[in-house]
Amino acid sequence: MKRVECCHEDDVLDALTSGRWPDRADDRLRTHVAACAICADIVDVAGAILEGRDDNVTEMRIPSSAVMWWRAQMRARQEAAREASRPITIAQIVASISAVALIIAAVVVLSPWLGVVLVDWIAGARAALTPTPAVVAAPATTLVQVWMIPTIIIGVSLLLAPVAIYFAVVDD
Amino acid sequence: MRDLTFSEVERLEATEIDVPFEMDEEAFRAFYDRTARPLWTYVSRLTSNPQVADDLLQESFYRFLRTRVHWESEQHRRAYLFRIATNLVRDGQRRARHGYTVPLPDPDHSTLAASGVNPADAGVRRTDLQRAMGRLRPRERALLWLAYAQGHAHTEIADTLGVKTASVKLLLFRARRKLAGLLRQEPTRMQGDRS
Repeated sequence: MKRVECCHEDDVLDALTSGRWPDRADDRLRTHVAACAICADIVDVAGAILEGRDDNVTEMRIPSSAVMWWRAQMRARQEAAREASRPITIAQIVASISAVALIIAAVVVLSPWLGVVLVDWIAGARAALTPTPAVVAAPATTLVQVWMIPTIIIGVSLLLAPVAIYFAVVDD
Repeated sequence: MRDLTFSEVERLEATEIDVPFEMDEEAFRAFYDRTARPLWTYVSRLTSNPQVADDLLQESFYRFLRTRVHWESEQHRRAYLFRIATNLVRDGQRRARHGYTVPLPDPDHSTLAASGVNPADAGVRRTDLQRAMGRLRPRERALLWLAYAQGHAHTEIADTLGVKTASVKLLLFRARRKLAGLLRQEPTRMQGDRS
């Protein structure tokens, strides 16, 4: 089985980190490293890494601990506030859609003119659903009249619902 | 997190919302002072991008503060922080199409000269190491950096990288072998360091 460690690894690392390698290192250790592939790799790799460890510290921009603590506090409060407002947002969306539906229903029910139109529409719809030869013969105009009101209601709802959602979820 | 406006800061400072962290301010600041620099250099080495390291440092500490974990020891706490940072780097690399690029640095000769190091030699060695590290897998880079630049124990490395402690020895051996081979391949590498 291939060897993956050497009993002198710690000694080599110790010599490297303390700056004793190579000049002030023990002769026996140097002799060992010259003959041991594992320790030779450690010298090359750990030596290069230790040498380059602080190379880019000039680019380091670390905020102070006080600033980091304050930023974390602010962010946590911001997230908590957002969490707390989430149920309100959902309620606002539901309320907006319900309001739009109620307005449409109220207009349809309370307007006498619309009431007459509605009665006509129901009659037309019933006729359209009954496949008589007359309806089959002239489907274009009759079907447009029959489906006009529900189409308008659905169209208005589709237009208003996204607007209501937008105003409900938009940030201050 | 997007930057806050002054009015948002004023509003948040005035708010009564209390967000308790697992650590108090004093303990956090002491821990931060001990770990911020090594964490930044670690993330900077993994990403080869100081700007990304700045962002991930802040994100790591914030997530660390928000966790509800009981740390058994300072080593466990530090490994947890480094693990958060490692996962953030990994997520970032997954999102990027080809991972982070490894820009070849332009050695800062004035800084090196001021430190008494021959700028040419040090710059060449630095470039060789960065280039060779850039050809390793992110986990190999992390392993080598934690083991040799930061001197973390195998148990801590295992905690940080989410691998078994028993595997660290073998993974470290392979990564070391690979980097040593790459460094020896580099034509500009100074010879004779090992005598």
